[in-house]
Amino acid sequence: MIEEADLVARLKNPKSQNQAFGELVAQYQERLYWHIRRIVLTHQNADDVLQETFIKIFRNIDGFKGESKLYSWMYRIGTNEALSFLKRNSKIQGISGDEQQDNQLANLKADPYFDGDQAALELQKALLELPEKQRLVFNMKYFQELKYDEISAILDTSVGALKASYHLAVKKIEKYLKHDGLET
Amino acid sequence: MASVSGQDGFKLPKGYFEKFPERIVKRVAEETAVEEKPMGGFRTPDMYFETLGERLEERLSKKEVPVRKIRPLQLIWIPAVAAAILLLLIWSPSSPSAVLDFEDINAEVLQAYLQTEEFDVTSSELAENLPLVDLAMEDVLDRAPEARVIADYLEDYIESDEELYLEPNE
Repeated sequence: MIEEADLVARLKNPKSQNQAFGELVAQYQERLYWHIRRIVLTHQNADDVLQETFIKIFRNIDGFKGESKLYSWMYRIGTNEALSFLKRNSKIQGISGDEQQDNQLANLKADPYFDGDQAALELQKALLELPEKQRLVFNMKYFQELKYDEISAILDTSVGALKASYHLAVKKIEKYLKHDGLET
Repeated sequence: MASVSGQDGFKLPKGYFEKFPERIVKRVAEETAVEEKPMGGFRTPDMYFETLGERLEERLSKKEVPVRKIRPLQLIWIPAVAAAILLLLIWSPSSPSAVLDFEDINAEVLQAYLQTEEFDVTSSELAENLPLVDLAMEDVLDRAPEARVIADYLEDYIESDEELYLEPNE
């Protein structure tokens, strides 16, 4: 694991910036990708957002003051980019929140890089029913296995609130899968 | 180190250590293959992560549209000109007084106001207060009546010639 302080210093130095950026991408690309992918669902959208995220990180690295971990900062940028992407899409298409959910699900089904079975699709449907924050918390806790402290640094939300969000999300998903999903 | 072949009652299968490396490498490979399959059916194109760095470098190396920096002097006079234009729009230099004059009021606005029911002034009261010195017929009527109409009116409503020569505002 590359020493974070050293990496940041090299990223801020124009002489070593390019090489350091390559190392940064290599180290964090997969984690960031899967975090973004779980928000935007399709590979194409995730690829677009991931690239925008890294470019933003590169261009704004001087703004990173070291008050949080580098990864938390990058994760935050990725989260905001993904959510902004979805909002922009809704605006461009002139669709409401419910319509956007249907849109996302349809895109997921059509995504050549999704080969989940019916159960996987139902789970995604259940997740799309959740409020944005709950969905984010669930993804980060359940799929990415982040600690509450880490999620708190990324979403700027208290650990208590995150625990409550996660608990509610789990209950809602269970209820959805029991009544509207697999067992219907 | 004690031999592992049978001493102290402990035994090992034949060829255990010879085959062990192969077995452990196979097991690690199987477990890695399972971990690599992301949960829920999501996957990525082949070589996606291997080529991402190159694609990002390509995007970053594309020449950005040059942004011409505004010289410091422009930063001063641009807002100054904007402020001057704004002042001119708000305050008309042709009017010597900042106080609104009767002539400043748009005719349509005035007409609308006079036609409101709340306006409790009779026509004669209004006429008494209007400055008749500079008032022309066109100011009151859309179209000047024909001479014949004026003559008929005078014949019907004017009792004496003296009324024709009333002083302004009488």
